[in-house]
Amino acid sequence: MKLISLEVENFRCIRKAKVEFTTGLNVLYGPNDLGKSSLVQAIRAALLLQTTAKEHEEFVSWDGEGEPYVGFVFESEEQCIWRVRKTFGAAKAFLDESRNGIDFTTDARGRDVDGRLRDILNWGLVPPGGKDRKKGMQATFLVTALLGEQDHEEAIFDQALGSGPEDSGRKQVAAALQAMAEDPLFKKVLTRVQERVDEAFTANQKRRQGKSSPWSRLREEIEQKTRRNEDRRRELNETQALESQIQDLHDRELEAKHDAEESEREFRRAEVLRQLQECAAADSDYQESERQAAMAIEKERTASAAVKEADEKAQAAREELAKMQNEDRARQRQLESSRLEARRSELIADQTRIQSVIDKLRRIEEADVKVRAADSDLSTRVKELEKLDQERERATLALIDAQRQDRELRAIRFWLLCQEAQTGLSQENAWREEAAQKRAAAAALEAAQPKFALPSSAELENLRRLETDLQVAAAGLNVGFSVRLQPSQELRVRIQRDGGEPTEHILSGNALETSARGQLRIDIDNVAEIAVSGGASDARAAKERLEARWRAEAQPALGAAHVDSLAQLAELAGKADRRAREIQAARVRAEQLDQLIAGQPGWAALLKDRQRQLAAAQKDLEDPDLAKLEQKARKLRIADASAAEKQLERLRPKLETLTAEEKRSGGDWAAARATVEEKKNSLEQASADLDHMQAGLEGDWRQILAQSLDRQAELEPELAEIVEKIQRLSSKEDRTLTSAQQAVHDLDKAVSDAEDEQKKAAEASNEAQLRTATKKADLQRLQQAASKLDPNLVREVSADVEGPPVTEENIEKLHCAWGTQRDRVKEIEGKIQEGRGALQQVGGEVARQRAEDAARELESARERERRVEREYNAWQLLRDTLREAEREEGSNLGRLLAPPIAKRFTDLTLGRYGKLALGPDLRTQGISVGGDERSVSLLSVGTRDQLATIFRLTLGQQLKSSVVLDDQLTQSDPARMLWLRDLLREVAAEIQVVVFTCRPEDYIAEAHGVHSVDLAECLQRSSALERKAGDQD
Amino acid sequence: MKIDGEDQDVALKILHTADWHLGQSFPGFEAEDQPKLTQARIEAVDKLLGLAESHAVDAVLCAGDLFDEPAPQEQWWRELLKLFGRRKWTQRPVFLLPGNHDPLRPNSVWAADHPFRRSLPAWVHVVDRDDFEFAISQDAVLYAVPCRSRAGADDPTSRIPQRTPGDSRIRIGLAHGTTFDAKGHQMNFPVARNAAEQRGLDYLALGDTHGFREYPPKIAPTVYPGTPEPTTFDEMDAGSAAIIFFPRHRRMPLIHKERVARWKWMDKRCSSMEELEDLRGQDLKDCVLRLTLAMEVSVSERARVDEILEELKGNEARVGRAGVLCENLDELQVSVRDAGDFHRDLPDVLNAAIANLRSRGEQAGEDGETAREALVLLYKTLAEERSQTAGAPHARSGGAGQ
Repeated sequence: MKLISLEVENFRCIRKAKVEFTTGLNVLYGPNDLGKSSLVQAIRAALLLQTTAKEHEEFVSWDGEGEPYVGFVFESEEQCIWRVRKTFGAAKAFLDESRNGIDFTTDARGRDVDGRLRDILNWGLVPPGGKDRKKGMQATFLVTALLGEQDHEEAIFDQALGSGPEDSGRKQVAAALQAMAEDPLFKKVLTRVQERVDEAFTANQKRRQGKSSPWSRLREEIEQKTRRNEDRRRELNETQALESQIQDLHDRELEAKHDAEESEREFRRAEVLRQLQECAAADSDYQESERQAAMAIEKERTASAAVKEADEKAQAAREELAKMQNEDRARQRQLESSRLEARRSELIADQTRIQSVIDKLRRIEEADVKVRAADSDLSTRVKELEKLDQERERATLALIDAQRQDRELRAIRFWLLCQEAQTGLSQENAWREEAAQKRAAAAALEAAQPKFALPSSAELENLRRLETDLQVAAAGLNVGFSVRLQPSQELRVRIQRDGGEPTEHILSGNALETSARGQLRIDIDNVAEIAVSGGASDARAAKERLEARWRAEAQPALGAAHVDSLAQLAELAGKADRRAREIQAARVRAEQLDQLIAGQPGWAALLKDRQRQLAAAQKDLEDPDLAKLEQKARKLRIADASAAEKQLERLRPKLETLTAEEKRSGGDWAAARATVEEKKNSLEQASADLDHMQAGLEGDWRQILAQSLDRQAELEPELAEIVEKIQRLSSKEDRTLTSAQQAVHDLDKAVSDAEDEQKKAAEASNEAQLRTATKKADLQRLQQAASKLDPNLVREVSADVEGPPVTEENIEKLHCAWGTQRDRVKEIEGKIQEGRGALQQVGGEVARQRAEDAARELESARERERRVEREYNAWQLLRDTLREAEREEGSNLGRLLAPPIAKRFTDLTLGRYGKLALGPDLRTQGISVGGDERSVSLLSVGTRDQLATIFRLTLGQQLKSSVVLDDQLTQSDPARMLWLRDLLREVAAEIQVVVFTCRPEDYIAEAHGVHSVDLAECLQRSSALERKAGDQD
Repeated sequence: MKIDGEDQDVALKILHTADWHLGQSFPGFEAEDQPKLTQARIEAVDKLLGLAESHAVDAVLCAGDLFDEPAPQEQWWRELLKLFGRRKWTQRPVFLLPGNHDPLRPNSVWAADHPFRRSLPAWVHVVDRDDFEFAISQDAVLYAVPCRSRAGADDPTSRIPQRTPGDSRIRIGLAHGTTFDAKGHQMNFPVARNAAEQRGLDYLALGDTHGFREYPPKIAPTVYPGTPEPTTFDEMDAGSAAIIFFPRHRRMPLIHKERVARWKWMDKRCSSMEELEDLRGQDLKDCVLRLTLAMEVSVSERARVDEILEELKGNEARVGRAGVLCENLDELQVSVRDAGDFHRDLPDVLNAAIANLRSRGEQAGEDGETAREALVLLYKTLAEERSQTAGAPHARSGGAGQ
């Protein structure tokens, strides 16, 4: 505080006074009772007493007129000038503020003036109305120190600063003394520390803002990195969500594929099982057929053996018969010979008797005998010839019969060959017909094939990949977004989302928020048309390129097929493929049939040839009727040409034998006939000879012969008996022969029967073999198809082949189930592709790496922030700690203030007194005298006064505040007064010192540098006082 | 390099590299260190091209992620063009493959109308088709498949045609993707481990993994050369390129690893001041050093730690001893027990403050940590003050604040 001016009216003994103060030492002097102390009191009243206080009454003008008024101007700090105007009794108080000391503005008035003054002065005054405020003028430690009353100077030793930390006086003193207490190193350190703190914090300990602030840089970096981290995190979340979704879809796909594979497996298994069952059935049929064929062949063989056996038996019987027949003829010849011998013997006896009778006719007799012998020989020969003739005839007949049989067999063979050719021709025709049917079917299927080109499976796969890529690209565009439309006027808008139906809205102030996945078109009536598309431009371009490819590659194929989707196209292609396979199968079958037909011997020509041969053969037959021929063949059990051939083969040796026999018997007969002729000639010669000889005989030798014949006739019964005997014998032989013939007949019949059986067996065998061949072809076809089947599946189902048969319905059902599962897999694959497409846009592993980088960067920035924060907090703590230490040091104010006071006092007293003991609150505790601490009260009055003055001046010096000394140092000796005057000047060089004194010479010995005021010139005393003085005068 | 002792036995030589990541930023590092790491990547490419010349390779295969972004800043593709521009090659084709970091997209650096593409020399070929095929020589053919997106579930090598019977040429595949055994391969262009064998390749040149990896199967090798300049501390065996020597008669190729990286990424952990002082004496100028200090130090030692760290890191006035320093002080504990850290003749007010901070610093938790750091700061401030006013009464030789 610095005093500037004081204006007083009606204040105790002063009617009116006006004093101006300057810096430095102000010495206001005047005689006693002039009113010097009243002026000091006026200053104290202006600053310390409320206008309404009862204590003002002691200020009432001694004249009794007018209310006491004080106008006091002071400067609290540079350019902060205050004017206090108080009129006591009238309770008028004003506090005006000015920067230049000329222009004032009212800052407070009335009761507020004292509150404001308390704040401005910081003298530890109790606020107005405060519970500790004493009535009247307040007298705090600083009031005493700076504005002490006359005769109360020593009160400074008894007073102390307020104890509370909030005490403004204590604060002011402490602040002032701390500056004094600062160590230079400490100060530098504190300054450095404060600078570092100031880099980061404001005076209010708030974080500094602005470009230079480390927080701003860090915050900005962290915010930027947080945003980036969030973006990257979002990408990563999207990636993870998509990956999770794709993983789920993969799981579902696996499951669906597994189901589809199971379904396909079931379907394939059923198909394989069905084929294997068909194969097994065909094999079984074939085996059965083969077994039947083998049986038939065996049967045929058995029948052939039976035929052979029967034939052999018949042959044997025939041979036996022939033998028997041969034996019979021999016996007959023997018998005949015997008989003839006997008869000849008789005849010889007769001839001997006749010869004896006719002794003379020996020659005749001999001749006759010769003739007779010749005749007999001739007869024998003739009979032999007859027999030979019969034999020859029989052989001829047998040959003819055999030849007939041969012709018949040949005819039968040709007929059977014709039959065979006919059958072959029929089969061939049937095959031709089937081949034609297959070709027709193939042609019909081919006609049903689409006329447009369907894509191959590879092309389809390409199209599917293109479709997938397109889906992926489309998915990339379907990012989803929302648009908020805030109209400033009523608008009619049409909104089309994702190519859907447009909706119309009328907006009249409320915002419209709409969202879409890929495309949004907003048509604002008569204003604008806004088109919003999702995805980056490159993604759209990629999609458009894919769409262009789709239009160029897929749509022509779809358009040509009149279908909308690749699935339908694939179905069409599948159907076409199946149809193509059916066509192929039909053509293959037709070709197989063609090969079969080509493998045939040319049945038509063969038939014609055979028919011609049959016709030729028929001509050789007695009865060319084919029905009879067939009957004959059946009778002979000839089923086919080979059987006929076999019979022909068997007949051939017989025919040869018969031919040889016929030839032999013809030869025998011719030889016998020549012999007979020869014998006849011989007989005729002999007869001629006999006749010649008879000519000499009596009687006719014939008579004699007749007689001989008679005799022979006589001998005939005997001969007949013998003949009968021979005949009986012969008859017995005949019966045996008949039996043999019957046996031959029976055996022939057995042969015939056996041949019939053989024919039937051959027919059955042929049929069975034909059937077996067909079955075998079927089986081979099925086995060939089966060989292409999956061997694993075949192994798997092989156990079930014997099980219940698989029906077409089962197959169809399983195929449908498989199709459903395939569709499900395809649907999931589509979703996976969508997900993958989206993931391709988001980034996958790249997104993960970027998210990790961003998180690391953010963490790094945060770590830097934490480090900086920790460092600045440490700076702050260091600053606070230093200040706290400083405060701690400064709080012991006595320790700070005592040394300079003691030093001055020691100087003053020439070392008589030493260290002054001041308490932390500046309460004087004692003074060192000769090493002992003594109470100040023990000092002399003058010395106490001097010590008090030094105390006050030193304190004022530290507080940079004016000190008002009201007539002090009156007890000082000149030497000390001189020292004190120097002290005043020294102090006044720093602060304003106002001295009210009646002995100005003590202070202004050297006028320069001292502002001296003769109060008599600027002060009007009250009239009462003037009168009293006048009275005295 | 000789195969079986004779140069003429080598039918073909190629240089295989990948994962240049040109333009990659390193925001986890100090601002002044980031350009060193980013610029080193282009220098590594220069070294690669020099290596191709010195080995006189027949072709250079660059297997993807050559840029860190599909549309990198102009600076990076211009720098690459400059490197190509310095070479006057005509018979040594270079194949650039887009990877998952720089996929082939319409607005990417690989687009036909991009100035980078238009400015490339004729001997530099960008793989921009799925059916890319190039006859490197009469007896060798290259098949390459680019990445078209950041992620993909298809094996890129599946698009390489299989060897046809009678084809006796050296067949080389070039692709970018992750083999099935690596993390996250499902959507990162998964490459079957036996892809080379499946496709009838004599060598499959891959990119993606930053460490050098080699699968030497029975028939054909599959190789990741790794990034030529490492990008993190965690990459095993990064910083190389592969030079492949194909002997005649399709015998097994010989794979030669050649280091090209400038920076050696080193992870160092010090558990005592002695170790730290020892590290300070080492040659670390080519090191990207991640230094973890796991030890308890006094206040003065802590100040010394900062001195050493600054010496390693460098400052405006002095280049650091380490190329790049990245310190981790999480495990560095300061002990305040040692009372001898500060000078005894300090003014009372400072001694009082030191005592106060030491007392607080003995507590656990954040307050204790802040107090310890405040003590260190006070120590360093006093040291700075001492250095500025050498011989000041409060300073004592032998340590800061003393």
